[in-house]
Amino acid sequence: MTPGTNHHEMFENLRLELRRGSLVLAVLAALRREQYGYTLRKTLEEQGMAIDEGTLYPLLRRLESQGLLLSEWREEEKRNKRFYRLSADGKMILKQLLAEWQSINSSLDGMVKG
Amino acid sequence: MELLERYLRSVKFFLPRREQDDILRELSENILSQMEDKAAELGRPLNESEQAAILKQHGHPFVVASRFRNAPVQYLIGPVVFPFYWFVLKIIFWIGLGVCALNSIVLLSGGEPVRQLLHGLLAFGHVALPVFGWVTFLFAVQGFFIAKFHLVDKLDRRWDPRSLPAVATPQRKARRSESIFGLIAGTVYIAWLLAVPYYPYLIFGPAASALRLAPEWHRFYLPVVVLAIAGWAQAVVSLIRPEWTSLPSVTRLVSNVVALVILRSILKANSYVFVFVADSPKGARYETVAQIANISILCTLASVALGLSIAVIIQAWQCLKEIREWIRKRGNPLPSRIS
Repeated sequence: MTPGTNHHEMFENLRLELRRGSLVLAVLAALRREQYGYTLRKTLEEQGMAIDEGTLYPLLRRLESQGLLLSEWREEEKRNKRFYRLSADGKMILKQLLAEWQSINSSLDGMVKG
Repeated sequence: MELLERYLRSVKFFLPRREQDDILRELSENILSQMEDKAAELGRPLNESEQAAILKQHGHPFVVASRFRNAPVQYLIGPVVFPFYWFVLKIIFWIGLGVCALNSIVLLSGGEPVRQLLHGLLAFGHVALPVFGWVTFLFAVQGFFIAKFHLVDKLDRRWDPRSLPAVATPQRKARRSESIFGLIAGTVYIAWLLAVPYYPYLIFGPAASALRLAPEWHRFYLPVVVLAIAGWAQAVVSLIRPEWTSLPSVTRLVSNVVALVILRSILKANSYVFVFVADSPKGARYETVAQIANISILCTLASVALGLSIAVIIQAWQCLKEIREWIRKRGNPLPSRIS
């Protein structure tokens, strides 16, 4: 393995780690508007937060089991789909997480610029 | 969509039974939506390769299903228990191997064929594997209860920094003079051992013209030489690496246990020296000397065996203390002084 490849791999791993931490926030924020799994994935991708299916669908179920999301099977375009939206708890948590994220962001800004 | 059905059926196999239908229904809808989107983009139905590409993107059925599992325990040996589990396995492995090696030495000194020795070593695998299996099972059960009752979280909440072990005293080093003395003494001893078969004078002195060692000794000659070489090698290592303080204790313990095993076999012998010129007048004179020598050797060997037994008990205790110390250090990896 060359030093260049090593560096690239290391960066990729750290990048993924960084993004993984913000995925829950992105999903909760995107689900302020009701969506089903596939459209949510597309929305996130369009917003620059691409997430693979294998991560997103289990994450949605986990957030629902934690009471942060509500889901409902409903017919759309002649097919039953499971739509997710934020629960009351989810809205509260999202608000707190956003505040936390903004605080981290400004701290980092201060450190990087200072 | 036969490919999709096959895919979903494979995923279903690995899913938790209670949630199978719900997960598959949702997964199926999402994949179908994705396929429809792709078909709309291409303006035609997807062929098999295109469908396969989408399914491949979702991942192997086993991987996909594993991500939907939310059980608290998804591994046999959890990360908390793993270091202890690994440590116990290693201890069992080395003890088992040591016992097996001892057994082999006894067989070798008893003149058993090499085939039987190999058979004895292979038997180690037959005994070790079930033991490893049971150890794994016990640790898995322990890990399960630790996860189920959140014992680590409870421990984390209750622990008190004041209960941490005391700072380790600075590491003792093996004395250089001791190592050098061991090296010189070992070299002389090995040279003497190697020369004895050719120069009986080195044992019997002037009586060498009439006395010889009994044939029983020949069976134990090789193990005794091996032991002497092992002791010499330990002195070399202690000289080069004086900080490896556990090595002398361990090697001394192992050597003494092996020596005890050899002594046990030697003590069973009827005589230790004999007069090889018995028919001559000189031989008759030496018969008494041989009898006295036999009694003296028996008493000496019995005393050595007693001494070695006591030494083995003390060294085993010392080794246990060092193992405990090592475990304690692993639990408290901070340096003794933080500057």
